[in-house]
Amino acid sequence: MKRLSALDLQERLRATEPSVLCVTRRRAPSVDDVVRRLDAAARRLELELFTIDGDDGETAALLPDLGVTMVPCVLVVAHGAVVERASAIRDGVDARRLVALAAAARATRPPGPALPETLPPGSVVPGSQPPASQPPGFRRG
Amino acid sequence: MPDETTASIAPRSAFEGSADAATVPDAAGSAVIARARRGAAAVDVVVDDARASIPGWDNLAWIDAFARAAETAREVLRTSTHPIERRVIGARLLRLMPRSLLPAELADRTVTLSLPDSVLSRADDDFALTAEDVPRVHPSWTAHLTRPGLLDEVLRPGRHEWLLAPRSFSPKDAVGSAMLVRVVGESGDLLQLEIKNPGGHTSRRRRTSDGRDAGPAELKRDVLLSWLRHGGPGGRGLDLRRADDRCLLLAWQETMRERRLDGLLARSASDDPERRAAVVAAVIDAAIDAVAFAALDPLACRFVFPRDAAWVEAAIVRLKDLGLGMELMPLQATTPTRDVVWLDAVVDAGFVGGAMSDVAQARAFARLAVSVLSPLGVLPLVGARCGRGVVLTLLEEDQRGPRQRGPLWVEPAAEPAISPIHEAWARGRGRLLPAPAADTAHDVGGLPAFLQAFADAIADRAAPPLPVPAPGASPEEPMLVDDDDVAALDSVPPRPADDADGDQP
Repeated sequence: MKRLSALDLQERLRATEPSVLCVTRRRAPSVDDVVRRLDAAARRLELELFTIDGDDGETAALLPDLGVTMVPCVLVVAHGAVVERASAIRDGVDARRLVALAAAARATRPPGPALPETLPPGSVVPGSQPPASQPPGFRRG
Repeated sequence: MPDETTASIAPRSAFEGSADAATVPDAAGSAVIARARRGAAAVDVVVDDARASIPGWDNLAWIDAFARAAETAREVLRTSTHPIERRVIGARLLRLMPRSLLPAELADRTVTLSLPDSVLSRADDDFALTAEDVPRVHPSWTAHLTRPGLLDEVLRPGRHEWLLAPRSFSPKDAVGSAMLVRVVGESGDLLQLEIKNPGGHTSRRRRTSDGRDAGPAELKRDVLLSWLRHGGPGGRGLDLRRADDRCLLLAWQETMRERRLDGLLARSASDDPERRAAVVAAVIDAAIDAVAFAALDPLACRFVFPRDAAWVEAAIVRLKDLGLGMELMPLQATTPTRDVVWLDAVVDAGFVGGAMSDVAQARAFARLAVSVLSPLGVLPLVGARCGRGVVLTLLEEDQRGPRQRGPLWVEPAAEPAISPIHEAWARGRGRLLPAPAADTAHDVGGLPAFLQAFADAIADRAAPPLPVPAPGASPEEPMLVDDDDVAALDSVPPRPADDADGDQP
């Protein structure tokens, strides 16, 4: 896990390599839990988690352009653009979903319409159902 | 605080529109829907009771009712595993969200979390596509894209609205990484341009970043062409191996059917270019609405509690005890405020589940645009740094030949969802666009073939097979068109009207 300065953040946004960024503030609730869950998920997929200090004026000035309005805020960045943004990371499932997005973006795919590979009626696609590890009822807050 | 005797007894919530819309179809036969309906009925008892009895001003009572409904929902969801069941329950809870506790920027909007009934009912089959779901577009709608020299003609003076150009061309007139120009003259490969600056004024001189004159506004044709064909990095069409994308395609098709646009696309395009353009605009609206009505950003429906009210702490404790509340802090607040996000604890992420950030909604629209809009001449540019939207450039044709409209900024989760890009820039959206690259350019002439391949791939793999046309019917004129379709455009329903009535607690 590495904290990014404003300069680091700009470099990271220019990079083609996907990243997971977490915007934090000292007095924001839930930040520690969110960072811990993301870091664990990132380690599992061999990605590095970057944190951004929203209390640092220079860094914070860059965040509105990225659509950040609330803290904690997790950004998945690939190809120089935000490809997912989330605020509530309630459990490891949420964290793994976001980190997996970054991992999937590692492989650059050609542009253009994707031709469908449709499945026959009744087929169940892996991933279309909630993960088995997800607890029933509400998820943890 | 309003007088209790005059306060509304049953305030309409911000989600009234979605709550009154049928979320669960009446027709039986779907196991998922039947379970969802049973679960929703239990929650409805609490919701209806609260709406009939709680004074509009009593915020804590509304939170308490929300918590009671959520307790019931939690019990229901202990045995529910399908995202559709959770989505239906989430839509029920939205009915207890008081408008006064919504984020200010959304307080006057109707926010929905509803899929068309015909799409919901296909949850049992995991939204598997059938031959009936093959998009049918008459070749006349896409023929102009194969015209030789299309883009060169579009770059002629008077044949386009505004074109994107790189910031470096005239930094003082740029917004973020790009700027707007139009061609006013040409000499060989060099085009003379008119520049639109952020203030709305136009000029034919370039300017450096400190405002000094940098010479006449002339640019090579290839540069403008590369921005015109620019598709952006990471742009992908629908991946129909994923249930989310199949559901999205079905939602778009159902929206098209409801607005009778499917019939218009299936028959030969009108000779009137303005009418053709209106149809394409309506198809774009249908794609935006298919995403925006069915998905909801958890941040958009969070509780925003006032800072100093005595009841707030009790309300937050009540929500947290349920495992619902997750507190957030605005980026620019100097003291912590009490914003609580709950929707994502109830519904699943993704299009089927219904919880999608504004970025995820934009990306869903982009996939739909790449697969089904671009072959109509609606070229999407994805990869804006903020991720909230997609730039669209429209290639059309009139009596004088090809023409371009746009660029437009589409942001499904926002209001307005579609606007000229300079207006979006003024709102701080879409300012940082990716630079063009050869491997991300649209193959404009090949788009009609892509659409055909897309439709063929669905038809080849779907079951049952396509219906056999009646004897004598032309294969190019599918028998899907009612006579009323001709006038359908005049009755295209607008996005749901705001139903703010101000009688919130």
